Amino acid sequence: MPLDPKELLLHSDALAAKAGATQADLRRAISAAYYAIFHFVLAAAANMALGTSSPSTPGYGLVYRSIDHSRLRGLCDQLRGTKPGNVAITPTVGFGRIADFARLTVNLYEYRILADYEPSRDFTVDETKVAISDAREAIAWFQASAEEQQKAFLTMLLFRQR
Amino acid sequence: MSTLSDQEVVKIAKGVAAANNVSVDQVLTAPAWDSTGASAIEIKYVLTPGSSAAIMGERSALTVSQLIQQLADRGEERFPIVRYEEKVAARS
Repeated sequence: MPLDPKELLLHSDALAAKAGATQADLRRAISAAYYAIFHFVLAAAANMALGTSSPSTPGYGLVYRSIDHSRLRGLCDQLRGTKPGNVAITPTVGFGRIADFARLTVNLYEYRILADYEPSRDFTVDETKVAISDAREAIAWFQASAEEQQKAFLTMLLFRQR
Repeated sequence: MSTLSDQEVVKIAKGVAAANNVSVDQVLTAPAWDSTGASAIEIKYVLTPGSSAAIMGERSALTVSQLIQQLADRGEERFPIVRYEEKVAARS
């Protein structure tokens, strides 16, 4: 079964809420919050391609694992501005909340890189809790988007323009 | 490469925070590198003491999204890495 984004976010909550949370706790909490979004998107893409009834099949795993972090980051970065540059598909109603989702996702990705690797930064409990909250909001915004917007985003995530 | 001045970035960041009722004591900027190795800008919202809980949910998320959007719309090419920090209350 794919990793459950809700479980990852609850894991983040627990790390951030620990009495005397260490830098390791807070950094792992921020990282897990990003990974909640990452696995949410992978599942959404695989579900769109193959349906929701086949998560244990090789085909589902093939689609699920075809998306890497740089691919997701690159697409999200293309939706940074009000007028997305050089995208293959633009929904008739625009990207709406999917663009907000994309901006939060790329921010959390860069945040997670700092949390995972950057020795010069310290993280606070408060900022960690806000980051977890932002991850939840990003997923909610994606889910609240129109099907056309979701499909446009996921199709561009799965297939490269030539 | 197009970059805004720190003063312009701070002004935009404060405007976005105000529009979302995020209580900011100050906005700090610092040069950074993003995960691709490109030049980035770290933007830290220093929140007024005790206000971080109030921005959880849509207020924080909209602030991050709108700040990234507005900087991009004004031609800022560096990716803004947006963070929050709550100011510690002064002891009385």
